[in-house]
Amino acid sequence: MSEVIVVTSGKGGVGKTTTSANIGTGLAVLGKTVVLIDTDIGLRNLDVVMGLENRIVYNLVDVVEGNCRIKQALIKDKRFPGLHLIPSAQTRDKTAVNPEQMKKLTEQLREQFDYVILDCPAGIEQGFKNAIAGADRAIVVTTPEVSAIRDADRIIGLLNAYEMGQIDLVVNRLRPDMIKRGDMMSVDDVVDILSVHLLGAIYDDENIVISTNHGEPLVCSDTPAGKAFMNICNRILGQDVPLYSPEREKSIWFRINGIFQKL
Amino acid sequence: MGKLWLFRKKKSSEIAKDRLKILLISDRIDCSPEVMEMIKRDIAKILCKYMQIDTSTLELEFSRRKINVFW
Repeated sequence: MSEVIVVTSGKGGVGKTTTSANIGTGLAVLGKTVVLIDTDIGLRNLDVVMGLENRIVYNLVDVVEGNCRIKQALIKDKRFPGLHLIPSAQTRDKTAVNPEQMKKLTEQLREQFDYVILDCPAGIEQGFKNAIAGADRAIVVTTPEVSAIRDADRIIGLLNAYEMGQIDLVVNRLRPDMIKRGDMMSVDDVVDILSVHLLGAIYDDENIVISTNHGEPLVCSDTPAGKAFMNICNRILGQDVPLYSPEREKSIWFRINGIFQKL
Repeated sequence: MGKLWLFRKKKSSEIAKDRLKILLISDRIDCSPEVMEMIKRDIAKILCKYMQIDTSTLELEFSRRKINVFW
């Protein structure tokens, strides 16, 4: 059974595109057929994060307007079998596509692919409405900052109003050192405030910048962020993977130590 | 214990969490901080009707689970 997932956040710059690229690649590595769609018309980004910017011929607007067939716009990623990208248009704007057209497109792609992943633009206007139109479930990305959390709460409210089937949370850019000194909200704090199901937590990792420089998603690499993204992919596939969290490990160790000291 | 808690400097993450809780409540019910202030004033007025309290030092805290009143 195929699934259409929208990756959204409200606020810009929290890691939607990076999350979309890594989840898409991770699911492909796990043997699924995946199509990534960049719905940010006018501000194309996913192609460059995926390192596929030199292979664009047709884009999302061409498909929707019928200038080409879906198959012609699909860019096949040669590194990962089963992974495809439909890039967004750079010279048009959000009004070039409407929610009905997006719904129709996702229905067609659903027949060919196991997972359709939509990278949503920032904001709550037309672009957001286009992106969520055909989605079965949403992944809301946030960082442990007040502005991002406020926007995430607003987005969750809107997704509920549009009757989104399932809403999951990804907390990005956590810094264990700052959480430890009490200068950053922890995953539990964020989940407590937003009261939504947690899909994954990603620690701030400089490898993200390095991998984006190369145009290679880091999901299959042996890095903290790479492992966290792989865990998210496994959870999407229905596996029960424990949360990767160094501070919790430490606290358990602390408790065991405490017991031994008492003895 | 209470005194210690009062003197302890609040961590910035706790400040963020407290601010967000109030902010999200007003966002969700679409109610501005001014309106919240007016609600607080009205609650204080009602309390004054039944008990003797100093409204200048009255502090009302809105939270999702309970309402705490300090004076």
